[in-house]
Amino acid sequence: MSRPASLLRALKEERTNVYRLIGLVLFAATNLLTVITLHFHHDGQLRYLQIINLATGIVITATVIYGAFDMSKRSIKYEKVKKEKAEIHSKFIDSQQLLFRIDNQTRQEVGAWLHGTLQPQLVRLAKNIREKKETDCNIVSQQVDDICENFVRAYSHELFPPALYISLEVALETLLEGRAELIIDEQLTNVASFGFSVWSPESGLKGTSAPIRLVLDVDRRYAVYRIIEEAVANAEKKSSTSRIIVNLIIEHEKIRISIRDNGAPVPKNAKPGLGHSIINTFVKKFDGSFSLENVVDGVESIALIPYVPVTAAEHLNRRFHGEGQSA
Amino acid sequence: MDNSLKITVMVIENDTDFRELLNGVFERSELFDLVGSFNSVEAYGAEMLKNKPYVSWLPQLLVVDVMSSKDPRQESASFISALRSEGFRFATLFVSSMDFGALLRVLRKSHPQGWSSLQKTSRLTEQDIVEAAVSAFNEMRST
Repeated sequence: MSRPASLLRALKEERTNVYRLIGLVLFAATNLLTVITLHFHHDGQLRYLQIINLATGIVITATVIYGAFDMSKRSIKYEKVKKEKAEIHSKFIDSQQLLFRIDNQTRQEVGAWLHGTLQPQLVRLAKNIREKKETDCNIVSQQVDDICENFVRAYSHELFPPALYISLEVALETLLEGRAELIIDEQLTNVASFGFSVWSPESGLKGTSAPIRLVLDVDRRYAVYRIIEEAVANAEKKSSTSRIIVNLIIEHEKIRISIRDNGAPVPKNAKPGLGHSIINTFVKKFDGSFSLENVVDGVESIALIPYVPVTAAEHLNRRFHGEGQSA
Repeated sequence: MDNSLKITVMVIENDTDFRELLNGVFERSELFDLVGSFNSVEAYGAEMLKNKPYVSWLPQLLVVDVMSSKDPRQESASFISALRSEGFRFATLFVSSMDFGALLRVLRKSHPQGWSSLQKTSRLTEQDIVEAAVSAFNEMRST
């Protein structure tokens, strides 16, 4: 930055003091001029002095008024920035608290499951073996299998459903079976076409009119799954709900998730619960948006998540071409 | 039994112990002819790319672990689904330690026949494996 420019910038930043300085200099100059004129004046010179004093008074007053306006403007701007800063701080505290709540709740749940469910099973098994009640090894192995299948597997699936690795469609069909109706964009289903030969053009796949199959990355899949899981759970909490419809579509490079129930409307000024906070966290992670509205005959939650479409064929090509070795 | 009358089978399983168990079952069975065994779905894909035309290289039955990718975050069902979408005809027996949930129901929407599944447990017997494999093959043959 050039020297005059940096000087101007410094003056602008310190303009309150500049106004004061200008006012002071003008005041001192006027007084000095008045004293000198009164001391050495000739006839008729006092008239000019009055005019000079009046003009200087106007300039000083204008400078003071402009300075005061500018200062109040800056003060308003400062207050606005201060308010925004406080809001950001408050949001940060809210997010931090949410994180602690989720972390705390998860730890409590896992801890409760380990102590309350798994440990008693293992203790009972160990006790029976020690007391030689279970002399038959088959019975012991049966009990171990039961613990693995009914407790460990079931709980691990609850923490992260492995079906999500396969596809969102499989995971959602599994999650919503008997709970909600699922309408899913054909592009995200197994019915959609790969569009061209994955393995090589010479394998002779004919063109098809079916939509091209798209895939979501695992993080987005998980986010969509969790948003639906929380929204459906919220809808189920209302005793008046008898029907839930989940609609998932790809629209203008966005994933649009709608969860609609026919239950009682949400009261105005209702405080968002943990479920909504979790949904908001997932939505914000992808710079998306979430809204909850009372609609005709029910409530609709809509989440929008940005998504640049990736075809399943591209995904498979990336995974398989030139990779792997025979066993 | 004459090998040409047996059902050709390939195994894709990343768990060494279970792959050996499956290999043993199909080698011992008079119904099957084990023609390949792979430790990952990527290894299978790479081998397939070397063997054109694919249609004559593919077996009649693929026994695949749903999570047999080298990458634990990847799966194998989309690979099988892609092959079926390209018109290749073969039966598939999915094996996994996880719950299959709606997997077969979803796969049947595009290709209604030729699927079966088997959950890995310590109770699994040789007969269970053979029966599930035959079930997938018979379902495919009936189309």
